[in-house]
Amino acid sequence: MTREDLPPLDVTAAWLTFSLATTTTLLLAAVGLPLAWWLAAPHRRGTGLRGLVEAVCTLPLVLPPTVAGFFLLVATAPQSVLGRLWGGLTGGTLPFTFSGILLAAVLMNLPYAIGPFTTAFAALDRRLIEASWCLGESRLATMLRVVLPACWPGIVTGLVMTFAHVVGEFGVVLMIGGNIPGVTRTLSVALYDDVQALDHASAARTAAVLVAVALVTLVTVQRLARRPAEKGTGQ
Amino acid sequence: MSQPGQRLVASFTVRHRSGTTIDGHVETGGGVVVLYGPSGCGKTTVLRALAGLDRPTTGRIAFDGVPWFDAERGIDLPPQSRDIGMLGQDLSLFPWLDVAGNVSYALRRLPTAERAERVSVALRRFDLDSLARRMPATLSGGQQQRVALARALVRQPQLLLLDEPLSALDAPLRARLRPGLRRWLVETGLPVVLVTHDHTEALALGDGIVVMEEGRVLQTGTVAEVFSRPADARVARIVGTESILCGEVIAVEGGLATVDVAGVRLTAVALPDDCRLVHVCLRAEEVVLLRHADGGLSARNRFPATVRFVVPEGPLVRVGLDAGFELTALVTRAAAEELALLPGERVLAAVKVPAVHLVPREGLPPRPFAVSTTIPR
Repeated sequence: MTREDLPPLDVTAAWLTFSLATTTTLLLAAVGLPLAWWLAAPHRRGTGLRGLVEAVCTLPLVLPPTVAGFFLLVATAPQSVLGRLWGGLTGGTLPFTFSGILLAAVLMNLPYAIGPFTTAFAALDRRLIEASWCLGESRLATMLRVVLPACWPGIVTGLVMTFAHVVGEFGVVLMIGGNIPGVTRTLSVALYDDVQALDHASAARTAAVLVAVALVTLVTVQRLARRPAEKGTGQ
Repeated sequence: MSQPGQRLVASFTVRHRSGTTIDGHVETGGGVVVLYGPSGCGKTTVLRALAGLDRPTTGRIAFDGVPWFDAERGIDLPPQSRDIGMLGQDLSLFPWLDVAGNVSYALRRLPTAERAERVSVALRRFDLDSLARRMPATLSGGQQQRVALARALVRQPQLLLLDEPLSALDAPLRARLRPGLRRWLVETGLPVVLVTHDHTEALALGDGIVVMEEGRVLQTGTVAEVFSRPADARVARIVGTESILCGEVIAVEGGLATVDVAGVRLTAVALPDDCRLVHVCLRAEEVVLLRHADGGLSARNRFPATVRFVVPEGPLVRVGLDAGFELTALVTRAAAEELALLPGERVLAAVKVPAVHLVPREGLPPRPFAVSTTIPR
């Protein structure tokens, strides 16, 4: 088989997958970092609520994606509360749209972001925060200058793992998004589609891309998770 | 309640979730005030409340007339607004920043040139120039402590708070660093509140002292006052019955130092370092009382004294003496009767050379030290 014989990589699907993964990661950083901070903080009250939130955030790990997808489909139907709310806000619907699979991806990947974030925040020595306050730094400045650098490895791990997992998200995307090219057809869905159509050459190419993404992700995590300042200490 | 010249005036109660309450009473115009007491007596809580890290339930904290905390008026300034230098027990250096990065942490709002200047002055002062690019984890305990001190002082705070500053170090290093720490603390000219449970540390570093037990303040005063004249038996149990005298080393010969204490010359084993000003510590049980000069006694230090009071303490008798300085002796009842010890009687006090303990005291307090000697209830 020559190079020309190979069907071209589904660039539309690749771009869509990249957009979905990037947007999901950014949204989970915005939602997940504060949520994880709250979960990791030493609380006096609200342990019941905290337990519930923690369970909900972990649920996607144990729930079959098809089950989650089914419930999401029902929950986001145009007649549902969420569907009507979304319709009122945007005039559109959630199932079989990019917004729909984005919502699904954010929810399904909560544990991959929240887990490492929470672990990192919980392991943070609170006395470092207090030391920064006593040195005159505001709470916000302390967040940026102490919490971020101290928890850097955990935060990076959470973000990169989320990105990689969204790239490979399949079941829930198929359930809620279907297979609409340029709208909901991601690389994983395209791969499944190729195999169904017995187009193994195209499937192999897509699969290779996905493997490459996974490898690059892992190497990135390994490199970034080293604290910037710990490089070159000569230890 | 507060005396003129007091800069920090604090009187408050912190209630823990467990239900225990801790009273804090600290007033100082300058010098080093030691919060002293057994572990778990609430010293650290008092320090954290002064820093704004723990919130008292009642009371007031004011510095230079500015209220930092006032339960009635609902004032509670955060640590950022109190302008303090705080050294926790664990030092809390930022592990991802090198020494220079740690020291310049609080200076980011300054222009680059001024920041660099201040950092280099601080590094030089604490002898850290050669370590500027090292990471905290690669430093020794003593070096880390200097970095923490430099980081706290470089922003020129108005009050310095230290929690067990030497506890993380091993005993020989502690002994070596004590005089230097005292010198630095005095040089800053800042009021310092320092927490310790270590007897020698309180003596070596403190000007004033607040003795605490189980969350209560038992006695406040100068270090020499409190150690020499415990207010009651509880304080005596915590600080030990010991006379602490201010002395000056006037000669060292053959490993023995001659120390002048209010005109009386005492001989003691000399300190390894060359120190002129010392605390002379005499444990009450080491002081021997005689009626007449007894040729058979080996003790080198003998001096006349007048009995001030005689207090029975179980099988023993505590004898207060005036020898030009105040001195306490513990003798048995039988010995007290034999010597016919009564107030006003003249006796001869004797102390063996090895029983005279010297604690170096580098540097005098920046101004005559005063803490309130009344204990608010």
